[in-house]
Parts: sequence; structure tokens; C-alpha cells
Amino acid sequence: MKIAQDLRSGNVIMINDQPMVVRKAEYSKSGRNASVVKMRLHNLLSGTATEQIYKSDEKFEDITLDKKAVNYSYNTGDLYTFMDPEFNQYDVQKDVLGDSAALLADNMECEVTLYNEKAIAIELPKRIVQEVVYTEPAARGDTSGKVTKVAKLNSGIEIDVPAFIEIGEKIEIDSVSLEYTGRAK
Amino acid sequence: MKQIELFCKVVDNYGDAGVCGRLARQLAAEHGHAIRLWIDKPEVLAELRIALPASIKVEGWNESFAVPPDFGDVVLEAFSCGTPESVMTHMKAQPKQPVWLNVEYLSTEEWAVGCNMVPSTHPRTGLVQHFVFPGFWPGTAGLNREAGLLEQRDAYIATLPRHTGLRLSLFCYKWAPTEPLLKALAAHSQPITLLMPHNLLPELTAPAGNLKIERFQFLPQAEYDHLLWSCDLNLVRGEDSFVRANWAGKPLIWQAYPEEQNQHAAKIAGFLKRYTANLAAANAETLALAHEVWILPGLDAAPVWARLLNELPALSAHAKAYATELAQQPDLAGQLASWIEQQRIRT
Repeated sequence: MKIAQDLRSGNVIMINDQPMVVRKAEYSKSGRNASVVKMRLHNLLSGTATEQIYKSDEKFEDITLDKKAVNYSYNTGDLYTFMDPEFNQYDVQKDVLGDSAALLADNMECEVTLYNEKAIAIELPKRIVQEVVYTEPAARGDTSGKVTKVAKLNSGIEIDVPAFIEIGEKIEIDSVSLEYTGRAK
Repeated sequence: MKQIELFCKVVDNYGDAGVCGRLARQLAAEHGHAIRLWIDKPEVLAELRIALPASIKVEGWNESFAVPPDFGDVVLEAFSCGTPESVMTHMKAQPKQPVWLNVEYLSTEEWAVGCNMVPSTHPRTGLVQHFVFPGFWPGTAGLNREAGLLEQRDAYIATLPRHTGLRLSLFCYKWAPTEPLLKALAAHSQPITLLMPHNLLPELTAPAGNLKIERFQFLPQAEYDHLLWSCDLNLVRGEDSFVRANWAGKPLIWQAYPEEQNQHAAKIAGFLKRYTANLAAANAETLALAHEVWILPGLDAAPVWARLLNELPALSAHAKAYATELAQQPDLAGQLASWIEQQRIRT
């Protein structure tokens, strides 16, 4: 068990039989040595976010989730299938993957988070290499002060890249924020 | 009309009972609700001699609380006192969850805005409680304020005979550094009458000079209001007398409930930020200094008190305007009644 004031971002707790990950916890002294904790929580089963407040001594069952290394296999419609080294398959709905679904490539090494043997989250490698399939050429004599431009990647995603990036270049992007991090080495 | 079950635990002194008594009275008298005030020490409420209408029943309770058959569909928990397990079980068994609120202690800081009416889903039962944060800032649940209070105050003040010199009231915690205060009061150019509860620091005597101390017996809430309204400066403490001093429209100095790690200093800072928003910088600084020397014993406080007394005319004008402006915000009972009504319509 954990009490509310000991909860930190990343902890997973049970609320009404729902596993909730703490995204943010703010502690405030309410009066007479009492205090409250306001939390932003993310339901790992439904994917919904919520804001809740608790007395700082409220008790929660905290849980440790299992994680396993898996490789991306294939998708059928909105269902994405991953496989571990023992050939166990894990199916994940597209909305769990969010925008990062577009970044999946055959046999990509990922990490699956399991709750009650059910896959509830997939973590892609932090940095992913993509190829720029289209971007406007950097305009000579451009004095607008812009240092970035939009580039379309081989996954179909469009992101901002530095003005010097050209079509055909391979770049690295952050798989969570989907931001350009540098040229691929 | 809703049957409201209000749970209160007396932690110490009279504040818990006093605030709950006022809230119950207002919810009944102004919003037509029937209230059952469950209080673990009913004798404390009785001592306050609050005039309660017939629609309020006062009952004792403890941890082995048994839910009566006519239990209402609104549960108010005061100051996180803990809703009894039997009530939780009862609520869980209802086809529609009763409205369940936790009215927190008064918070003077702005963070209370972001916490007011935020839900709290109980980890085990899934019952949803909402946290109510009374406060001074727009967006909080407001303060206890009866309808027509400021008009009653002004009418009462109009009947008072003019007094010579200054009248001050003093209600503080026992650790308050009173010596430099009394020294400054005695040295003031005008005669000062300091009114104190009979049992507060009974050893205190007035130093030679322009100060006279008068003691008063325990006052019912309404009479304590009259005392605050009749004074030129009120030194108050805790929660209930502090809120009443705000409505008095007279300069006030607040001694917040002492907390670990000097947290009460943050509470005072939160109050002063709101209170002095439209006050001249020099007067605001005087108030900040006076609050500082009043919670930190050992400072050279007498010159600060002397400065405060000299600035009372400017502070008086500000205090009245501030109370008028503060009263534009909805009051605590009104906000609770609206919330309860919204829940009724929604379900």
C-alpha cells in the first residue's frame, strides 16, 4: 500500500479496480497540518485521463506492471500484433499506440506492458530512423527568420525539421514527442 | 428540500463546531434544507449558543456510527473528518449515489481555486466525493456569509455611540508575543481599550500608559460579531473569528493556526496577497510587518505596532471597501446549495 503523499509520477495504483498511472501529483497544505494531493491520472485500461484529489493519507494499492521485450509482427485493421522470444503473441488496439503506430516497422524491437497478462501499453525505441520523402527546398535568400520547415516522412507523418534537411535524407525522431532529434548516424 | 447529513469532528477549540454550526444554519435558513449535524462533541456546539432553527437536528456520533433509516441523500464531511464506514456501505448500496462532499479547511492561497470541486474517487468503493475549498479567491467555494450580513453590520454600527480613543479586540493563541504589542499600545498618543476574552492569557496586565484592558465573558457568535464591528482594529486567530473579522470591515491582524514547518506563514501570505491587492504599498508593507511580528516572537515589534496604529485611518477605509468587494463573490452555503441542486437535476 502507498499513501497519496508518497505517490510520484509513473507510479501505478488501483482505483475502483482500475489500474491508473500517476502522470502528475501536486501536494498542498490545506490547513491544521492536513494536506491534499491533486493528481492527474491515466486509466491504463480505458486510456482516459482524469483529475482527482485525495487526502494526503489516503491509502492506495500500488502495483508493479510486468514488462517484456517484443518484436512487432503485423497488423490487421486496428489490431497490432507483437511477439516475444518465446513466440507468445500480444495484441494491442491502435488507440493504445496512438500516433506512434505509424512508426512501427517489421520486426521493430519494442517493450510491452502487461496488466493481468493483457497488453496495455507498447513502448517503441526512444529514437527511430525515418526517411524524408518530401520537403520544400531551403529557399535561398529567405529572410523570414524561419529555421524549420515541414517534412513528410516515409511513415506518412509530417514533422518540423531544420531548413537544411533535404529529400532522401535519413533523420532520427523521438518516438513519443514525434520531434526531430538529428540526422541519422 | 434535501436532507443533509453533516459530519463534524471537534479537533480543538471552537472553530470546527462554530464553522459547521454557521454552515448548517445558513443551509437551513436561506436554502430550505433539513440538516442533521452529527458532531462528536455536541457540548462544544452548545457552548457556542448558536441559534439553530427547528430544521436542524444536532446528534452525537463516533466511529461505531449506525446509519439511521431516514438517512439523507446528501453527505457533507467537514474538514476531512472521515465519513464513517457504515455510511460508505450505505451509499454504495443505494441505486443512485448520494451527493458526497468534503468541505475542507479555509485555504487563503490561490492553489485552492484549482482544487475546488475536483472529484475524489474512493480507491476501494468507487464512490465519488467532491472536495470543496472555502477561500478568498474567485473560483474557490467562498466564505460563510449570511444574507444581509454587511447591511446588518452597518445598521448596528450606526447605532453605536462615538467612542474616544481606540477600541481593539484581541483573540490570539497563547504563544503570541503580546509584550511588545501592549508596550506599543500603552505608548500610543490616544487612549486605547483592549478587549480580551476572560480566560485568554489571564496573567496579562496593561503596562503604564494609555492602555486599559477589559475582559469579556464568552460571547455567542452574534455578539462576537457586534464586538468586532464596534472596534477600530481586530486581532483574530484560526478560521471562524478570522472570517468574521473580514466581514467586520475593520482593520485586522490574523494569527493563523500554527502548523508544521511554519506553513501558517504561507497561509498569511496568501491572505495578504488578496487583502492588500488594492492597498497603498506603504500600508500593505505595514500590514505584512505586523503579521510577521505577530507570528515570530523575538522581533523588534513595538515600532511595527506603533506604525500600524498611526496608519489605522487609511487601513479602515480599505478594510470596509475590501469587505464590500469580497461580498460580491458567492458565499459558501450558496455555492454548496447550488452544487447540490445541480446534482439533483443531473440525476
